[in-house]
Amino acid sequence: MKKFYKIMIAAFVLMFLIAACTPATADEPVVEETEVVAPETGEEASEEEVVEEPEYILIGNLQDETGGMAVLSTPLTYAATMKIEEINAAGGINGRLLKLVTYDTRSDVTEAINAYTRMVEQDQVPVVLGPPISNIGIAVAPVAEELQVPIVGLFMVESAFKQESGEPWTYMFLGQNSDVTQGSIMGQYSYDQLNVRRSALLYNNQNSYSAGIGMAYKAQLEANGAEVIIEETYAWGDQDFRAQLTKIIAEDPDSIFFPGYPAEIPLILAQAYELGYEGLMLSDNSVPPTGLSPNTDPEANKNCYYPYGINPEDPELQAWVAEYEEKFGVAPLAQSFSGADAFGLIVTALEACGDDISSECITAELNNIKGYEGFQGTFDMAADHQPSSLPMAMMKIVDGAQVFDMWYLTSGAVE
Amino acid sequence: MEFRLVLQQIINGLSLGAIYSLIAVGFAMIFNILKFSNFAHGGVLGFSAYAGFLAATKLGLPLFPVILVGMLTGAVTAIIIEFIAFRWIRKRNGQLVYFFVTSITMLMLLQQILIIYFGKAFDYYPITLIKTKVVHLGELTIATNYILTLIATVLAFSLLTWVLKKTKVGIAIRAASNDLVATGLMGINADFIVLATFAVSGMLGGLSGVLYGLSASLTPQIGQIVVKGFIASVLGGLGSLTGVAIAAFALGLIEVFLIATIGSGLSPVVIFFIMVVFLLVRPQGVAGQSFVDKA
Repeated sequence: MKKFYKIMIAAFVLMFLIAACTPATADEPVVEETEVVAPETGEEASEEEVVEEPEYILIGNLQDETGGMAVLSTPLTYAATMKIEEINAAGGINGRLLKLVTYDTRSDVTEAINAYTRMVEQDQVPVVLGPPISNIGIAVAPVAEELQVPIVGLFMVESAFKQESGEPWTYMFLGQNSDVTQGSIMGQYSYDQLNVRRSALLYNNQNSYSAGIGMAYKAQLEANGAEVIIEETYAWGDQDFRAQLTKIIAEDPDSIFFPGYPAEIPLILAQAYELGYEGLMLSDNSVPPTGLSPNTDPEANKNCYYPYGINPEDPELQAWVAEYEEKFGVAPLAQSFSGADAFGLIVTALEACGDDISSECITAELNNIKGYEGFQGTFDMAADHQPSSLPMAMMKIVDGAQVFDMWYLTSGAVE
Repeated sequence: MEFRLVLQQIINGLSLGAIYSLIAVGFAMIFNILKFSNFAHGGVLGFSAYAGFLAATKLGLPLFPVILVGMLTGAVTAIIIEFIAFRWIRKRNGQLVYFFVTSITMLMLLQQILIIYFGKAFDYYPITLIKTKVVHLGELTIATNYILTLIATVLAFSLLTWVLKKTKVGIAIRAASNDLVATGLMGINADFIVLATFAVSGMLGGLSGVLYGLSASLTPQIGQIVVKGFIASVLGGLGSLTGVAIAAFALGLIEVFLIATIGSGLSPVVIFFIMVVFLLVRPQGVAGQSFVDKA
């Protein structure tokens, strides 16, 4: 019996030691720390000076800090952090400093709903920077309708920002092109520029994002007179796609369109190549970073094309890229730039609201945004709560690195 | 269906089955001795996969040392799990359900530990570990890492069979799988035999973790593939390592052909339906033994 208790005590001690080494959990909001400065001199307050505690505008941040999707979510947090530091260094918005209140959604919709509810009811944030994960956006949308605090995110599936009736969810705003837009642009580009006429489609039928882009791509191809000759699906967590790819390759398509998440993209690329397929491999904006070398065999991804939110080679972006890389030690992804734009929409609304930092005002101003100049281009917030007429940068992989090809809309190339 | 297509799908199925077989045999070894389904084996697999990943990326080791690191990690992890999770239950003659519940708890604990350190991104084994990615057999192709897995499975199973039949430890393990208590009464150190079994099972888990990791995205949840090992164990017969190994290959083939015919959405439904039928009609599996009590 004594030995039993000793073992149990040792096990508990081990667990507590491990827990002590962990970063902040989902229950502890990660609050962005900002330095208190004397407004007139900009220098750190001395002991003799009396500095008023600044007022803060709390901005909720609903992201996957852990879990496989963190690779897509973390860029939004990083982009928001950079923007906050820049704004706070300049004195904030109407004298108020910004502070990010982050909750880890762990790629779980229940966690996300609880986190959103907590940040609205306990932290009383007036606005939230939302996730890039569409399944979470879809889950949170009706809750936002109830709690009436706007969320600006990258959840590109239409049902995350539009109701079944076609009316937009009142408090959900998309900061990048939707899945339908992205799939349509990819379809038109494939038809016009890559001469795709007999495509195959491989998508995750349990993932609304993957399915949405896939269906939009198919519809656009068919509208041009091309066809999707075979459709195959896979499920969450699948690692082996050879059964589906073998069937697809047997039909001799001129391309395979495989919209998905970062986990499966390099596997599909590698396995298609291993099965002897050397045709076009077309995907979505989740290709970087996992679809690029060194994660993927350069021979496997050499015929890969995909749409992207920005042109990484744009000279105007390089200063921001350098600052981002220096600060966070990683290269920015598309989600960094579109996340910066999403956060920029929030800042624009806050500035327009002046002293009335309320959810009602912020929601109204988000609806009124016109000519917003972001990394992705200049756009209005359309009536259906997504950007109007944003082109996408069409990318291809050359020697393991992404190379810009051209800007594209559903209507064709953009000069 | 075109003949070449059928052959390629057979190769795909056998490749998948090889991975399942390694996992299932390691899983079944624990069942043979302690008569419960050890889902902590998935945690061992996950730990080993990441150990191999670190050995390849941080230490720059080539393939075979990476595999050895994975196997060693698997053995050590399995031994630690036996000490802290299962030994005290066995010593107190605890009910089998306690072993089962504890094994699931350990799987979740190990996964959470991996999430802490590796949860932020997907990882991949370096593509340089295997120089030649694919072998062509006429119009058919087979990935090199799957050939490796097939060879490793055959070698591991042959070695395991030799150990179980020709060595004292192996004979003792077989005796313990019949009756652990009686084995102890015959003067054999039952604790050592159980430990040895966990070590061997852990090594198999480590081997399967690295080989599976070579062709997969590394996530903390990678160990959940142990469910496939469980299914193969049920179909093949808990208690028969040969039956389990054959059932695992069959499972790989069935899975591939189901995906190719009815799609990936319905494939798990059919597989679990087959498993339920086996549990109802022939719970001892194709080649297993009947047990009065098991978990």
